[in-house]
Amino acid sequence: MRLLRYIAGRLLLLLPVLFGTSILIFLLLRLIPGDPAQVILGLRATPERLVIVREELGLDLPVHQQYMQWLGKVLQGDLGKDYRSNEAVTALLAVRLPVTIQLTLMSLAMAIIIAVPLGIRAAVKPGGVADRSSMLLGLFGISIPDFWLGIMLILFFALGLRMFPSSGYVRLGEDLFGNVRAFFLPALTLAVGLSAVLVRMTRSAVLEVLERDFVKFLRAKGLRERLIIYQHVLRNASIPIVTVIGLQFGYLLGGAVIVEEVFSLPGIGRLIVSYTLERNYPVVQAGMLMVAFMFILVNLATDVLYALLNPRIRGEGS
Amino acid sequence: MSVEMGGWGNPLSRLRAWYAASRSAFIGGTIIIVLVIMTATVSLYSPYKPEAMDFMAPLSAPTGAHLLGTDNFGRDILTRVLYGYQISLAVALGSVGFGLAVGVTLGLLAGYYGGLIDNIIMRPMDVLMAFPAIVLVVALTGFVGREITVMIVAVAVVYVPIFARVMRGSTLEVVNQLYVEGARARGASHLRLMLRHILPNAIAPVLIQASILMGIAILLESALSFIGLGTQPPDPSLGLMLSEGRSFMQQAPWMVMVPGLAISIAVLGFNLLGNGLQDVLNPARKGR
Repeated sequence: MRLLRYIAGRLLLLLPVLFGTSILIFLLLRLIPGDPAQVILGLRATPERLVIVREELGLDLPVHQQYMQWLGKVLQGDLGKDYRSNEAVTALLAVRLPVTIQLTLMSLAMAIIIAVPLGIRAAVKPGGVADRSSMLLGLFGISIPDFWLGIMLILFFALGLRMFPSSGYVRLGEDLFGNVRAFFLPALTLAVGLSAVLVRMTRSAVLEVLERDFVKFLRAKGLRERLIIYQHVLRNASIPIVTVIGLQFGYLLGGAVIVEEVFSLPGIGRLIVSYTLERNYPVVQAGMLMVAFMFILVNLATDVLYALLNPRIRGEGS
Repeated sequence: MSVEMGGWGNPLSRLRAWYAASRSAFIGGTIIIVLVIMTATVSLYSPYKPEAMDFMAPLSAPTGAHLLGTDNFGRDILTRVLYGYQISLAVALGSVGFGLAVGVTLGLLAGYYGGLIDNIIMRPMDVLMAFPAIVLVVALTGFVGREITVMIVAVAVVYVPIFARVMRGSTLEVVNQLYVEGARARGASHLRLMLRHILPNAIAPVLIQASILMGIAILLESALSFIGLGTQPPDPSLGLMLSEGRSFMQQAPWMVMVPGLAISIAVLGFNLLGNGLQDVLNPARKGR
């Protein structure tokens, strides 16, 4: 019951943040010079035509009215129309979103598979091979730019060894194996940076728990070390690990922008970049709103998971 | 927050003391100092100009004349990398400096006054932090323009809430300390309390963050230039060189290997420095 109340409270807190986010996105794009009507008409622009198009788009209204109009439509699920193709933005996002989601989830899974076991081993045997490699991963993983790593992976595994395609996208429903192959290198590229942060956090969280008294007790009791680590220590160390995974999701979304560009994957990130270049406001607005929304949602999920793992937090629920 | 070790002894023993204090900070600091000196003086010793094309030697592999090879226009890659660092470092310094000035001020005010002022300052910061950095920077540079100042401001916009949050946190830790109370009892003004008593004692975590964000600024600048929203050709930016090199990576892999390596080295330097500062400034380890 308290957990439910906690979640409800967190959901309520979401509203002002989402509201602020929508204002920020809207203002950001309005304050910036550039006339969408000019973009739409291009060379066909005459002063009369510009006025008509501006009226059609509602751009002649004061900014706060424009915002209310946009917000009203967004709340009804209407994200506007692509200036160029006149296609509904929701349709555009529906195609692009699954690509970004699959990319981020796959790299999240890879990062967990790489980092968590390595971090545990590093903590259990300080100074050992796992400890040293976790230090190196932790340092180089955050220093190497992901787009460069992506290019290097293409160079060696796609162009050199021909194990994976160098770019392109295969739909999940079309060909499962081809889909996984197409996503493997981009997901790995993103996963390296994330696992760098994750391995450090896992290592220090496990180290910290290992020093607690109950571990000494379990050892004294003669419990097998494996059981102590995987049943007791890991459960206690999971809170900071989960938090880092949640916080780093934003990094994944941001990294996806670049990695999608490197591997020519048609996701939200590439959508934002290419439509920003052609000043297609409704698409960029919707794309950014979507990214911010996912980010906020993941943060919420992190908090809830956090509360599930640590009953004490629910009590303090603010 | 000072890191001074053992007075004004001879330079060598001071270096040794720094090395002993933190190997990581020492190596990181050395990398950065060497890069800065090489970059600042490149025009004095490089036999090539960054834009000078040599049509006799396009896509030349590394040789004695071109230590790290040439690109598709026959431009010397090493020279271009060193000039490219100038842009990277300018963006890093500018954005961190700007972010520090605004973020530290806001965080200090929020932490010191608390209550309503805290909310007025920090809630908009939460909103800014709801965006992945690169998305915000892409939107800003994409619409406003691609000059270096725009890049600096865009990255600084991302950094302000980070600095503000860290500064607010450490201000909260310091603000109730006895020496602050004492100064207040002696009648020190708010401004004096904040600048003389709180700021110097609360700035350490911010400086650690600043070092790491310098590295991230270099990553952001190169990422922006890589996707075409940052530095424009023919200026030598590391990200741009990398993106131009992609078309030739099978014939001339050094075109993509060198700039990426160059970015990594600079970022590694700042990360090492940040990690080292953390070890040195972290109170838990101070008493060694």
